[in-house]
Amino acid sequence: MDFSSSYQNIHQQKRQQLIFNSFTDAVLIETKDRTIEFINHSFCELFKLKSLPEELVGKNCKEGSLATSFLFKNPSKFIYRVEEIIDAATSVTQEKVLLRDGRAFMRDYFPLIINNIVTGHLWLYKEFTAANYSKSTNVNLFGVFENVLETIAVPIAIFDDEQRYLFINKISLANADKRKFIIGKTDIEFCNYYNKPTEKAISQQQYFKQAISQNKQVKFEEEDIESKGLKTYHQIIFYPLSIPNEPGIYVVKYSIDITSLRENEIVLKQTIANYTHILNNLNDVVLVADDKLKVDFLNESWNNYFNANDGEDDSIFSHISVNKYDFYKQAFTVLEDATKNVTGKIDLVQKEGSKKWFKYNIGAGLANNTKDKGIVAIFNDITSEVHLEENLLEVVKREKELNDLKSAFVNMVSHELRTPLAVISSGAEIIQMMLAVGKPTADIEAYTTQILTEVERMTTFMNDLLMVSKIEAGKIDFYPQLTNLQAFVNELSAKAYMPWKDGRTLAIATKGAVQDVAVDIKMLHHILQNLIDNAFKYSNNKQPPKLRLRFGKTNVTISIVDNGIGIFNDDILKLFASFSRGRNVANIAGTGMGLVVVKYFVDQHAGNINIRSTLGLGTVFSIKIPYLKP
Amino acid sequence: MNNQKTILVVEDEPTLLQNISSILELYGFKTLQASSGIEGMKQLQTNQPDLIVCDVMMQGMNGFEMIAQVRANPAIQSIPFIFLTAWADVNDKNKGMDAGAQAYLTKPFAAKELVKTINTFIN
Repeated sequence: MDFSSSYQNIHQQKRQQLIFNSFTDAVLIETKDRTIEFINHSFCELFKLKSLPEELVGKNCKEGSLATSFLFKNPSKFIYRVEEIIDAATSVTQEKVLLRDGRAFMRDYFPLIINNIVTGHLWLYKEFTAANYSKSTNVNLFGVFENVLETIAVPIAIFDDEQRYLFINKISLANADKRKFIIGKTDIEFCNYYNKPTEKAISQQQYFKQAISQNKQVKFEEEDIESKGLKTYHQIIFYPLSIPNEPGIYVVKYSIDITSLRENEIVLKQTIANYTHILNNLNDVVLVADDKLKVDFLNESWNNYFNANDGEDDSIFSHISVNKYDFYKQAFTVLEDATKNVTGKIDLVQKEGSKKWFKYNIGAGLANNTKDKGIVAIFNDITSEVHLEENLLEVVKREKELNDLKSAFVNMVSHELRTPLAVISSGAEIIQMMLAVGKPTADIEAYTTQILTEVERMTTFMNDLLMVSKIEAGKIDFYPQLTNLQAFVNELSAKAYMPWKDGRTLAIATKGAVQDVAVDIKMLHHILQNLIDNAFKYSNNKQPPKLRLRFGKTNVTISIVDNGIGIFNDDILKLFASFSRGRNVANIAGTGMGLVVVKYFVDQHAGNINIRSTLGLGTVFSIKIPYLKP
Repeated sequence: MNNQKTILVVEDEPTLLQNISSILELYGFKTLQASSGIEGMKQLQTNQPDLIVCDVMMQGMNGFEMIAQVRANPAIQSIPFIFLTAWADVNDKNKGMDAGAQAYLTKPFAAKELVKTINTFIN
């Protein structure tokens, strides 16, 4: 090597150094045996090397990369990759390298080949992170945006695709040092460094990943507790975006303070909960429905009365039967004209079948799910009032019946006494007139007999009255004695019905083995006389009544059969009440007392009365008396 | 006695029918007797009495039904009609008077009062 060539070499090296040192990119040239041939200032700055570039020339590059590997996020990966690139000796451009401190470098590699022989390696690094990005671009767009972003009064941050901060504004992080420190780091790293809990950072990481993988914005909400213990709420948005001609995806994060919104919501929810609680504790049923009568709200009181709806059908019709025509007519009136307010009464059947009465009020309401008007119906249980009213009406009705019965009784007594009195008084007057004209005593006798007969008739009537009164007071004694019923009936018939006063005679028929029966003779006499008299009385101008005696194994049945006017079915049960008479008796005289006494006397014999009757055809009264020991 | 007046007595209680008739005869009237409204109307087909004395409650045709038939028949509608009945209620009396009766007497009755009433409407 001569001087001139040596000088030329030195001169070339200096020029090379000057050129590379003016580069903002970090430059490292190593020989094929991996000794540092050249290193520029930017490289030393970028990798924060303490030595000057010229001091590093000639040093072993392998050792150097080992020493600097700790700067990288994944040191072993860095070393292996460097060796891999060198072995391949093929250009590598735009390879991203992540550093432990959060920075990201873009790496280029070019093999230095002379005559097809690898003579060395050129490495170029430039910082890829935000600050460097803005420095490296001709137009400092990022700086402009940073200023713009600082003017927006919401927390804003920009991340790279691995959630490392590229930018964070002052509202997000007030401390300038921290703001500077955080660039290139993740939240988790930041939290770890400052010993802060990482739960939120971990949770946000999920949303961040979601935004990246779906390449669309992700919104979520965060609840914070301030130092004073007050809760704050934020809606956070991760918004992924790519910048033209720039590799990778950037993610903008901003958050909106929704504390007052949430507070209002909480107050509103609480208010609604309070009102719902109040509504649910009302005894009244409250039903809110929309304009299609779909139920929006039904308070718990409904369930106290009726089945809880299974949720299958939310129509009002599943709660209140469509046959409640008046209710629905009124509900539609309110739907058509919201100014109307209607009231009514409705009966609804409970699950176990009992009926409840409600007074209802339907007014216009605002349903939840529609802008259209709906209805609010309030049902007030008035079942007890209705029952009270019904009972009262029943009492009044009974009172009236009793009153009617009383006046009917007075009328009847008056009538029953006036007719014999008229016979007596007219008879007495005739006697007077006869005496005045000197008529013979024999002529007068007929009238005195009349008077005595009528007095007897009145006495009988009075005795009947007394009997009923005694029966009603429970003062009649029962004296049964073994009696030959056939003889008894024949004797009774011979006395009064052979013939009866209208000329007809009673027919008697006997069946079964005749035997003596224990009866109270007076009572039986009364029973038969009453029933046979009735049979004649109510079968005027018809075939005469019949009496049938049938001796059975355990009892004897006495039936009185007539071909008379018959009795209405629903009158039959009432016949045994005092002063009650069939509705078709018209002008046939009677007191309505007879059957009361008959029934009582039959009961004394532990027997029963059976009545079969066909209107217009006739009636059969059957008395069954069990054989008793006297 | 050409001017002897005839009274139709309608009464379903046989004894009383007999007594009323006897009293009227003792007072010089001639009587026709009927034991029901139906019988009374039958009598009116062949006889033209000067006055009718009639009970109210009778089987077949009662007194109210009978007076309605009498008042509806031009041949006999002007015959004075007196009710003699055990129904003493004011309402019954009003009903009888409304039906077109001249008088409404209740049982028991005084012979003199009956005759006086009859005479009022016969003369």
